Amino acid sequence: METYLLETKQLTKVYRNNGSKVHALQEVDLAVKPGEMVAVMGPSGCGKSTLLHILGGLDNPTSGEVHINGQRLDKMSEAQRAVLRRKQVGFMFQAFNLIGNLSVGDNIELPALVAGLSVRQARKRRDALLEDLGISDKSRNIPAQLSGGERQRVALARALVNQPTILLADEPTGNLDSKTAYEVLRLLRQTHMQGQTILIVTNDPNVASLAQRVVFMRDGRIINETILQERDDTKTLLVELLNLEGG
Amino acid sequence: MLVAVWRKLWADIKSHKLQFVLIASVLTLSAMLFTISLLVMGSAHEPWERIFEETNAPHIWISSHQYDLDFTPMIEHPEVSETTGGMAALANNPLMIEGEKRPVYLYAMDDPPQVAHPILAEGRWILSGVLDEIVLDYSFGHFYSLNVGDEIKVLAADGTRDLEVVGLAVTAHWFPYNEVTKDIAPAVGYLSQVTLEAIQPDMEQWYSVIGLRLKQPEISKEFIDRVYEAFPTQLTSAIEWQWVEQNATFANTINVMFMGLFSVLGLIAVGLIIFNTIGGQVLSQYQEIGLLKAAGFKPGQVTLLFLLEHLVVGLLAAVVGIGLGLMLAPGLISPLAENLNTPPPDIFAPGPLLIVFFLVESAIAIATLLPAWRGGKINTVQAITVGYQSQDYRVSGLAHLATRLCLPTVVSLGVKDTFSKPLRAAMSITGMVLTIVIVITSIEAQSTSKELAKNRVYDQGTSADMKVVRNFVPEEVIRNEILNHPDVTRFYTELPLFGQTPDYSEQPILFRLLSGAYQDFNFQLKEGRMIKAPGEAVVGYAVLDLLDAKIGNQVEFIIEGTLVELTIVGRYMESFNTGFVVLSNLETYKEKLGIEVQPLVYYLRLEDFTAAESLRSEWLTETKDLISIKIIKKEPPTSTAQLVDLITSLGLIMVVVTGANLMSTSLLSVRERSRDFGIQKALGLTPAQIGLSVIIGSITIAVISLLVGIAIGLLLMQEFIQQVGIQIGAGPDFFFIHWGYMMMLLPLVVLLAIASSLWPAYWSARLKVVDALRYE
Repeated sequence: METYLLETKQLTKVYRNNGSKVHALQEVDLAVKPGEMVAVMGPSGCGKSTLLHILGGLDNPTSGEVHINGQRLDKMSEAQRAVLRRKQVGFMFQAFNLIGNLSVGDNIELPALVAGLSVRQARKRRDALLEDLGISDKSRNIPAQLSGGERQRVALARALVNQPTILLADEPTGNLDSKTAYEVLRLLRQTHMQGQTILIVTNDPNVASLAQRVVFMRDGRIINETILQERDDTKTLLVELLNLEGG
Repeated sequence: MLVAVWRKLWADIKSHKLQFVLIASVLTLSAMLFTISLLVMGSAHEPWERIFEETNAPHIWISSHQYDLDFTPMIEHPEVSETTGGMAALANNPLMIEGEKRPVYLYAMDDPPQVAHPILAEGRWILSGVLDEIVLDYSFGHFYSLNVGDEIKVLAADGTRDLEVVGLAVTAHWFPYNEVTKDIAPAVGYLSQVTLEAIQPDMEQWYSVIGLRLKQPEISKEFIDRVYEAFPTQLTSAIEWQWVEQNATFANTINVMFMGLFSVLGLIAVGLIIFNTIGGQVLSQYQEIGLLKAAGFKPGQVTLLFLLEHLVVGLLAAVVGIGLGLMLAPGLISPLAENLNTPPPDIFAPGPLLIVFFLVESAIAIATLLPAWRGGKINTVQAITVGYQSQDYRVSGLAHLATRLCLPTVVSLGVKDTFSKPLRAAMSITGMVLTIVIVITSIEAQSTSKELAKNRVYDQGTSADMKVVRNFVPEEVIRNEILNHPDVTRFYTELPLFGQTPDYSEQPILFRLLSGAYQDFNFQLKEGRMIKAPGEAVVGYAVLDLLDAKIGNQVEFIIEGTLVELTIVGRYMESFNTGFVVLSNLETYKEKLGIEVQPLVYYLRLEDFTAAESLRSEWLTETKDLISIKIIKKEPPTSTAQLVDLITSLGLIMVVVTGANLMSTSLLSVRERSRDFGIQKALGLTPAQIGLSVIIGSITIAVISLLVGIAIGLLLMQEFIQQVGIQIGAGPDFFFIHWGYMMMLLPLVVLLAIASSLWPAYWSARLKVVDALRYE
């Protein structure tokens, strides 16, 4: 029997809007293996962001099950989900969502401190990530002083500081120009190559082509699933480009 | 535009009910405080000077024991501009109040004269030619709770006579009647001529009195010298206005200074609170500003819309606040007016009420215009998507410090968020600091007045239980009936005499010449020691100040014409005679004088179980009411207690306003920071941690305000009370800090911060991450 890091069963989310029901998710079954990189694609409003929020414990499903690393997420209280999120889930958002009046260093350290690491341990991990992501010199800056690509790098560092079980990325290149987007994708690929499980929600086929598997959604349902092979032309081209960019 | 204003107002009310209620409450309470503060300021501003002007008071009062003295030379003197004309008066027919004789000057005044016309505060004037009506001095009436319609007895030539109190009037030509002045100056009453004749048919017992207004008031002393030269034997007294002013305003000094300080602080604090609340409200609506601009509003129209909306709310709140202020004002202002001996202000006078409208609406206008103008200028797309976000982010130093100090992350976040809007944080802190200063004012006023009372400073520094003045009763009677009474455990005696120093002959100094066991009566010495031997003196601060003397100096005094040399061995706290008081031994004076003199006043300490009131009644009966007996209380005088209560009441209202402001600010702040809360939740903070960080932010503001407030409050009050102490002669060490109350402020302020941030904390804890992070 195959072990999944992340699994949903019959996941359904219904919003009520002035008495009428809106089915954001309908009986979604999704499973992600450890070390896998999965992309979720679909048109705007198809439910992909709602799925990501529920997988990360930011929202509750109306029905169905969510399992993360063997734990039943949908049965947890909000506080229990928050505690689980600290260690198991890292988030990257399209709008970066850095805290404006904390320095880059403090933004990265914050989740580590919340998770109970000492200041010394948090700083050690922060410095390592800043070094890996090539923004060591930005530690004392505030987010407003950084470019879009640098901000998303900080967001990635923050997402990885607690060495999460899974990294959830919501349109991570949506606010970036193409050159900066490639840089961020290169880092994501690099992270994945180091064994990090990643689930990306995106509209961009180029981003999706980085994944091993692409899940297509429409009207709250998974309508298709494609496994991308290394020999896939698009994928190969993009990977090569990323490798070139990375030097 | 009006339709747009109304629709926007209605939408705001519906969408943020609690916020609207808080803003409306803050504005209403602010308008109420403005109203009360302005009325207090109006009452407390130069009360004697105002009454002097309004009553057209004379610069000189001249009285003669010759009832038919011809004042024509004075009336026609070229320096005199106006006069009261000659008036008949009685000085030896006291009123009988609570079984005791209260000396009173009774003036025949059928019609109030142009000069020195008393201002009726209650009731009506006496009817000309009607018997047995009296208008009493307002302060005297209130001191003894005498109201219009009451009957009082006056000691007449043929027994007692009943008079009906028909009015209470304020005058500036004599001292206000209060705890300090009642033992040194008679009260004042006005009667018809026929009533005067009925009380004292023997006109030889009458006095004739005239009040003169001078063209040059400053020459009053020289004028009096000339009058004495012209009437060498006929005059009883001549009093110039400066002397009355000095004594009348002395009694009010503390009240006026306290209330003036309080009113100004209150006005500034309330102004800041309005500015903070409204400014924050506009800043929190930047997304609405963006939407309005997207809908076609020009920046100027956006500003006008917000301005009108808040002015409408302010107008309604001002109406309600003024109404509440007017309801509360009589209860708060009347005691102050009684203390200051001014008529209660006309609370419905349009002037102050218009000023309140103006102040509230001005504060609202300024608070709205600046952020609305800025809002009108920011990029529409930015306004719609992210609302107000400072472009000038700085790293939170406090948060960084908290992290380095290994404080819990929640604390760091709470501290960080407190100062995410530095201007708002600074204004919140300033508003709260002023409130704390006001609270400290009331605490220090309470503790100082209680401390003074505990040390009997209000009763000439003695820790006795009872004061007996023998008047004309022989000393042996006092000794036999009172001093030898088994309930009297200790006593000392006093002969009060006035004198002066050879160099400063115009300044009267009270000499309290003591004998008996005065060493056991714990005089409140501030320096040096108590007198032990003849030739020694303990003096009030004002004497040291006047003579520029120090403990150990030898000083010459003239007591009743006799030169006495005294060595100053100590200084004590004395509120009487503005501190121009010398304590010395009666033996010193006897030796110099060479004749036997007897004490006049007796201070007694009684057995603990003694019922002082019944003992007093017993002694008054035995001496046929010829002596005066006062039970010395250990509480502050009623007038001081009323003043302290007024400050405390207003301080409490300020605390409520501050609490509402804190809550409003906290709510606005968490609404603005909802995105940050969403991020923090996504990073793993639990709802409880988010709520706690909000509460910690509020506590941080409160604690910083408390520390700054205590520092400023104590420095300000110390300086202020020292100045008051020097002015009233009690000395610079007049200030008592009640550290117990100060310590209690910390938990109280923290509780206030917690209470005011509970709902914002709950709101932020319940915030859905998905909603908070939505940006499309």
